[in-house]
Amino acid sequence: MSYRYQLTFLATCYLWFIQCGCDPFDTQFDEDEVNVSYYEASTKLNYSQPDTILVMTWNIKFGGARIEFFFDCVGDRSLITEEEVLENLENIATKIKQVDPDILLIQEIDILSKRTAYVDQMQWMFDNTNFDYGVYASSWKADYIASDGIGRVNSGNAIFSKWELKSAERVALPLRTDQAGYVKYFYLQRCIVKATCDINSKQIHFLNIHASAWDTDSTRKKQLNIFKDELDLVHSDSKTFIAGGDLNTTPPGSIQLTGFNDQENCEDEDYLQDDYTRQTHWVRGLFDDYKPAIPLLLFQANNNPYFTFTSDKDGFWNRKIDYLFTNGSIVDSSGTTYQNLEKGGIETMPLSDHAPVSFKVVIGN
Amino acid sequence: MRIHESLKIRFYEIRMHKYIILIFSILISISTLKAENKVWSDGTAFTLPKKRYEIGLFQPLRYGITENTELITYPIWSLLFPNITIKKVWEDPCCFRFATRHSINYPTQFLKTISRSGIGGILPVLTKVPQLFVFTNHLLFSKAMTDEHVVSTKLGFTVVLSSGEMDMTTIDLPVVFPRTFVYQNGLSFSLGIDFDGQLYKSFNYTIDADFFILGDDITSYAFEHKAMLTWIRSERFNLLLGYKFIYGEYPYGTDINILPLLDIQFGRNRGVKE
Repeated sequence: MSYRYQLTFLATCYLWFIQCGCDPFDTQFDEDEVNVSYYEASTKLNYSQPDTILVMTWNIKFGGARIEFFFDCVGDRSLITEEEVLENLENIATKIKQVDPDILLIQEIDILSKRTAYVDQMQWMFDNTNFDYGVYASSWKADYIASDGIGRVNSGNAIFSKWELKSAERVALPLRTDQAGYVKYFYLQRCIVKATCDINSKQIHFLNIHASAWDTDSTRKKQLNIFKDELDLVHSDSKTFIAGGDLNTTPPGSIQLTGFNDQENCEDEDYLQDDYTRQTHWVRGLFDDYKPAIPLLLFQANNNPYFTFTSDKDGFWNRKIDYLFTNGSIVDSSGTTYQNLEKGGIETMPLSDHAPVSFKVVIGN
Repeated sequence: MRIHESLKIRFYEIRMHKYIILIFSILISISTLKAENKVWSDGTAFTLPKKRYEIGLFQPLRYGITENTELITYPIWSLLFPNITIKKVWEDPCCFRFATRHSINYPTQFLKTISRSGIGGILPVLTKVPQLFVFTNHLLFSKAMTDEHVVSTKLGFTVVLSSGEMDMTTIDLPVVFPRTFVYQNGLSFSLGIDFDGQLYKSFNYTIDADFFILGDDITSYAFEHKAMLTWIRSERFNLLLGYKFIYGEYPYGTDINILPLLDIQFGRNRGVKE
């Protein structure tokens, strides 16, 4: 056979494999696409337009509650059963219905992940809470991850609303640079999900971020800067925004910045989250330029009532890393951190490794 | 309700069911054609000639023990995943060739190895893997359509004997899932058809379709189709290129995958000076 045929065949082999090998596990996001899914309830409750809205943010740990996972420093679970997921989601939904927010920013919600028995938690939320609309953007997706038994994963940020959400977008955040290429390919790709909503003839922009947790290269700082830039953009356009999420960074004036008791037994350094000493100014710009749910002076006077995170199921909230901000008008003293029965009416420690935070924003005149 | 995606998936499902039925109808109707030839393939009722062996990077070692008996194994995998298959050609009852293929493997040690934390942990570290003995049996019928083309049909079942506590999760990967779900379910069936022949000079082709019946309410079937071009460089070296199309039901829903196939195959006739 001539060399022409042989070379053609070999070149075809090579090109076929290059083509197939670009993104074999579908972990990448096409920057040209919106990368957001819209959801809506099959039976809508058609809410009226209020003068003030209650907005809440909550990292729900994909319905994993206080089950100790391999990334929790002390655990070794990778997967949870459907019964566990549904029971935990029921408890989360009870809290959501008790607070009854108009807008809910959720981080770590799974839609098709093996670790949560493939329960579509977006759909489940619509079936079990009172929202009519939602948008979802993935911050971690892969057809298969051959590590720790994770398997298929699709987890991300969501905005739930009582009114229609429009113009949703996924804003990709910088990736960690302190990981090997093959780890990076399968790793989380953090994002901001944003959408607009017309309430009382006013267009409100909602932004929901989940920043990096375990980076050692200040990726989180870059991500928080992008978050701030997004808010500045809306603000400079004379529009109102309500934004928040899990910033994984403590505020300026935090008394304890290292040596957290929930990290004492951390067996894996990859999941150690115990030193915020260099990070206290990373969110200062947000406090300086916009209005937080929990004013900085209030937090600095006494940190403890505003803590939102601990990975120790037997301990209590020991740092604040979850926030809400707006450039609009906040109803005085409406900022609430739902820490326990006394501060919010329901024990939140067993529900997730994060406590929810809410505030009321004035929409009308 | 997830609007756009659900409609798209539903449409895809309907189209794919029709596609599968159509392919099987065409293949089964063609399989009645008659002829004779010498094409040796894993999916046919033909065996390698006596003392010839063939091995690929991703294909098993096959060895012709006699003119009508072939031994098949994945030698490197055998350390963790002992496996052996024997294919035996029986009498030609009339105008087609009939063979049976019987295999046994013991995946327990391999499954324990991939139950680990960190990279390589396909199963969670806490997985309890029982003793598993997997028996697969196939009936193979081949008929030569012309001197260069053979069509084969196959029918088989897999049964698993297990002993010990089992809390193993499924491995939800294309190709792997239809072959390992039986560890949970205990019994699965398969049927398929292969076309093998010469395409042009030293290029051979293989086109096959396999249907797995997994016998579970949620994940009841899988369909696989493969097309492969083999460049026969010499009797001792082949290069294979193709794709595998998989459509099936997984614990997360139906899915479609197309995988590239590339392999290098070496063969030799033992004891024969070439």
